[in-house]
Amino acid sequence: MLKGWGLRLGLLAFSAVIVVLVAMLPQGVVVTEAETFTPPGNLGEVRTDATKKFRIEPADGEADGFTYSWSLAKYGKGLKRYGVELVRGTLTVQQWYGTAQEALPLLPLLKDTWWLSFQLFAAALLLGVVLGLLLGGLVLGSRGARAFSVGLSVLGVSVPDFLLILLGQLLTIWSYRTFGVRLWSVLGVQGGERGWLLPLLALSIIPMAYTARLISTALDEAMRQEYIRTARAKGVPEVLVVLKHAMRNALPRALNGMPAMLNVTLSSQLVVEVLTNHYGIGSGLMRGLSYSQPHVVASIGLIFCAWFVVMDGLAVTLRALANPQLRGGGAS
Amino acid sequence: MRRMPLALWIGLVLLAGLALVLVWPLFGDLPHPQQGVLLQMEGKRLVAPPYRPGQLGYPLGSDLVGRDYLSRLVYGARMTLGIALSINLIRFAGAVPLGLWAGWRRGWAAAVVQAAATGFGSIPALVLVFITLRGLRPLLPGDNAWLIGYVLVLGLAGMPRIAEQVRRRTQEIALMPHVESAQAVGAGTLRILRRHILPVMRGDLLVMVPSEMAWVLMIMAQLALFGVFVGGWVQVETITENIYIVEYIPEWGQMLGANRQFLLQYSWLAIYPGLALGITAAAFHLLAEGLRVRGLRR
Repeated sequence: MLKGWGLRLGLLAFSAVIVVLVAMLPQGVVVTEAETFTPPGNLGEVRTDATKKFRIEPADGEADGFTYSWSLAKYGKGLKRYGVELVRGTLTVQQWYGTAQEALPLLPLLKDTWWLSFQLFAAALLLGVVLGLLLGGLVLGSRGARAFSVGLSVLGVSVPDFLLILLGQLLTIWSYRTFGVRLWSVLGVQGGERGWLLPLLALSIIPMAYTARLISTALDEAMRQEYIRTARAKGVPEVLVVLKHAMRNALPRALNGMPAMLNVTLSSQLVVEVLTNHYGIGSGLMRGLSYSQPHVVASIGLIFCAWFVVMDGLAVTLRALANPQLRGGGAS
Repeated sequence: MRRMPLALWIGLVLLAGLALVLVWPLFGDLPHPQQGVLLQMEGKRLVAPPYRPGQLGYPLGSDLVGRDYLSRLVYGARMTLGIALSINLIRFAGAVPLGLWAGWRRGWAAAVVQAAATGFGSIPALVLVFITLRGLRPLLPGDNAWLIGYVLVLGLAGMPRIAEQVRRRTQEIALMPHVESAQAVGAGTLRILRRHILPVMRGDLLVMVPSEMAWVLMIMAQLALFGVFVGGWVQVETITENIYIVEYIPEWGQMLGANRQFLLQYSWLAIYPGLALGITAAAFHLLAEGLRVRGLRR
């Protein structure tokens, strides 16, 4: 198990280096400003008479008023400064959720936002896993219950998170306009209300669907084993057969799929936070990029790496603890 | 006849619908996706865009400068699927030979592929791709360079995971008797991989391709929500000197990302491309799931 954790810490260091090197790339960019400003990617301007149909065509020639080059020396300098400030804990941020323009210490802000994200993540994971266990357990029921379980879990994995949120937003607007009932806060993008219900529901779909699929497959296989037949022959009640024998053996197998589930859930958390106005670490990443603050992006990237590695390690440790045969090593 | 899984049925029906959308411009009479109008008469009223769905003969409404949204969505299918397909091609073109080779060679080659997959897997995919693309954005001026960078980064980011899956399967197949027999009669590595391992893996690849297609579409949509998408902007100035800055290329990701800020006022601008992306991703997911179940039944 210790070897597994050692390997994970090594991977964390490797991922952290990649994230910092990539996130700090903009530090090396040298911009030469032209006389007039046009946004990057601008394709030109179309002036038109209002009532006439017109067709937009890209303008010829240079649309962008800037020229970009990349300096290794500038990049190296930026990297070095970031490393020093990170180690000393003196990183600051200029723009943070519309706060004052003065520099604020970054690390305490990240701690607060991470805590907010962690609360959402933990609640969604817990809700998703509990619902997933119940849903997965339905495969042992009637034909209809089985179809419901499989159908819902496949749908949960297939339907994208952003679509659920967009539809959830529309649903509450429609319900308010039609019946005067607000199902949850209207979580508009940038400046809307804030709330917990919709992000929690949206984020718990993936863990629920994943857990249900993993548990149902593992239970299906476990119920065909010899020891189940033996337990039944001995007259053990069916509930105990499932809980004590089948579930006990199915759980470690289901935990095998946890790393992939955590990876997808953490990715999904970014989308959920941005779309539901949740001021967590995902929104912080967005802020860092919007205000061109590579050191904020790099720091949040590091937090994500560490977070994933710890969660992944915990899942593998749990699997090892649940399965005595695996106690010798923790690597998956 | 063996019963086809329901997921496969639904996936195939949805994809057949998508195929119809792809060929629609060849047979249907659609307005040009870049054709707009800034003021129109509705009865005795002058109305300005965005036109609501169903208003003034726009079945799915229009965007901020009066471009027909149905037409943009239909043309957008080609662009979006073309990009997703290119990304998938890069992924599989790199990952399959690499995985086959690493699985056959074992030793350090397998360890490198395994480490790369675990390393990339230890960062949420969206975070890695998002940070990389935003980091590279200033270095890729111009729409073509940006498009190539976008496709390459998304392609390369998924490669290690697929290579690892192929490596594992190759190692399993390499232990099969027919491979041992081929080795015994002196067949070369390339011949064994091509004639004896790859055909056995066909079923796995058949499941992996639509599944990857779905993940690529999902990540394209997620990136778009963060403001990372292909294509540029265009500004349209009206006679009242209002300036609209709108997306240019009809691509679902760009349409979703550029219009998500209008979700509460003009919900169709973000919802339709979001639905298109979501349903297409779900269709590929269901196809992969159906093929997987069918493979298991066999």
